[in-house]
Amino acid sequence: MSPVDITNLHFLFFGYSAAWIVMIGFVFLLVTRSRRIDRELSRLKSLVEDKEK
Amino acid sequence: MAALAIAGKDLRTEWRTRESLNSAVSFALVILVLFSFAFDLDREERLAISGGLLWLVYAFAGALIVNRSFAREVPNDCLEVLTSSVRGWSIFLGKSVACFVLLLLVELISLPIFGLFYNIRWTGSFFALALVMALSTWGITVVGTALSAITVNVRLRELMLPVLLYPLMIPLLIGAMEMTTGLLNGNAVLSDIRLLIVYDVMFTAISLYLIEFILVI
Amino acid sequence: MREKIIYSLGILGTILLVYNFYNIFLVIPIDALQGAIYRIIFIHVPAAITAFSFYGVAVVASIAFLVRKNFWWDSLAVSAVEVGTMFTLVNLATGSIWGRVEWGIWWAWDARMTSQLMCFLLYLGYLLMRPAIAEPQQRGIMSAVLAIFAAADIPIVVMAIRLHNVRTQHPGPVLETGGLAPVYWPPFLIGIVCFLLLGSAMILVRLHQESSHREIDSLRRELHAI
Repeated sequence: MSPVDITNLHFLFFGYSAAWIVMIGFVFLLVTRSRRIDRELSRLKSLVEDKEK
Repeated sequence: MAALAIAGKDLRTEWRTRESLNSAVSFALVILVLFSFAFDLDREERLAISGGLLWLVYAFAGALIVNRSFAREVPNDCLEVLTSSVRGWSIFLGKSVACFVLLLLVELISLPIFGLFYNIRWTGSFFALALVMALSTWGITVVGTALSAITVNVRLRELMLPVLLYPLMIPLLIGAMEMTTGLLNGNAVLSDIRLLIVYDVMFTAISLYLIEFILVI
Repeated sequence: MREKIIYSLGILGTILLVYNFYNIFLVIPIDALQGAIYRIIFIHVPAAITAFSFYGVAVVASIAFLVRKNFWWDSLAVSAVEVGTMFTLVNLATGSIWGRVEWGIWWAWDARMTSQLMCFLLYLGYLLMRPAIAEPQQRGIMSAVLAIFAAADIPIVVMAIRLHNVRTQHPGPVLETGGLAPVYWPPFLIGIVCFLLLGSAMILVRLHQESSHREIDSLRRELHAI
């Protein structure tokens, strides 16, 4: 492979990595936020139940 | 008619204190001085950036002026009184006209100062410049007033308004900057005027229609 | 039910994606002019198309919210904008890396790049403003109005930039002119479908989060009342 081909491949790798980092990062954010919301929801539900007793 | 009454009211209250006007003019002045320090330019370079510089100053000053537009009604719940007695679109139109007059005033004051500081002749093409200024200023104020109504109850309003306003203004500023640079360089290109007209008509129509949703909550 | 739909969308998207990668990297021939880097367009362009589809969904949902005042539409709008902005970021990042190889610079202020960046900034503003409004009804209305403003601005941005930016170095619209060789079509279309599927799964997750959020808010009010 010529040096041009090699840099080409390098940047192809960078491009795909960048795309996946952005997407996986977003999914990670989604999951952590979901978990936080679920935890808050169950905490509030148990609080409401306790108060109603 | 109600719109004119509101525009008159805004302009009168502004004229009593002149706080937006004074701060916008002195802000424009400071920016003009700062730019001359930031870039040490010769005559050709100054001419090449003249339109861009001028409209950056106007855009900053415009954000300062529209920021106060709806915010001044918040103390004493004036906005509720207004919305209960006047239709939303009249309030919006009146406030836009008031901002338009104020911003145009700021522009007319800072244009000669700009010409003086940067040694640029603008008197020859004044009427064409005035047309560009009027159309672009209407665009800035109509979008700015709508965003001022949107952000009136937002936390950190002073920060949020520019963040939302500048990206929306970009097409207008591109047209205004290009045409102003052309006019100050002595070649009269008014081909982009349709860009400004499309922008003005479109955002005036959308804002007038949507303002009822924003103000009547 | 909801979780099943999300999982099946996600799994289907992932399987198609793996199949597509097999095609992109091992089956289709290398572009004669560009070398290996051309393979980036199978991510770059589908990301842009997906982003714009979701922006379209967002503006329709915003109008529907203003008409119906049903919070589901507001949730749909914000979910679509968020996922669309993420895909715009993917589009910008891959485009910038491609430009570094083909043009030798990371950023060219070329017509399409600039208008794409404007879209990104517009919708970033939308996402920044939402948490700054406390009252839900108000937040929904203001965001919907802002989304409509942004959607109205995009065609004018494109018009303004096309009028001025003569330095257009972005490759021409191969999709519209039919310049794309037939062998490249299947991975291209499958790429779009993949991103749409994965994006829809993300939107569904976001929608659920928004409804949980509303539930949390009402529980908080209830607690306050007790």
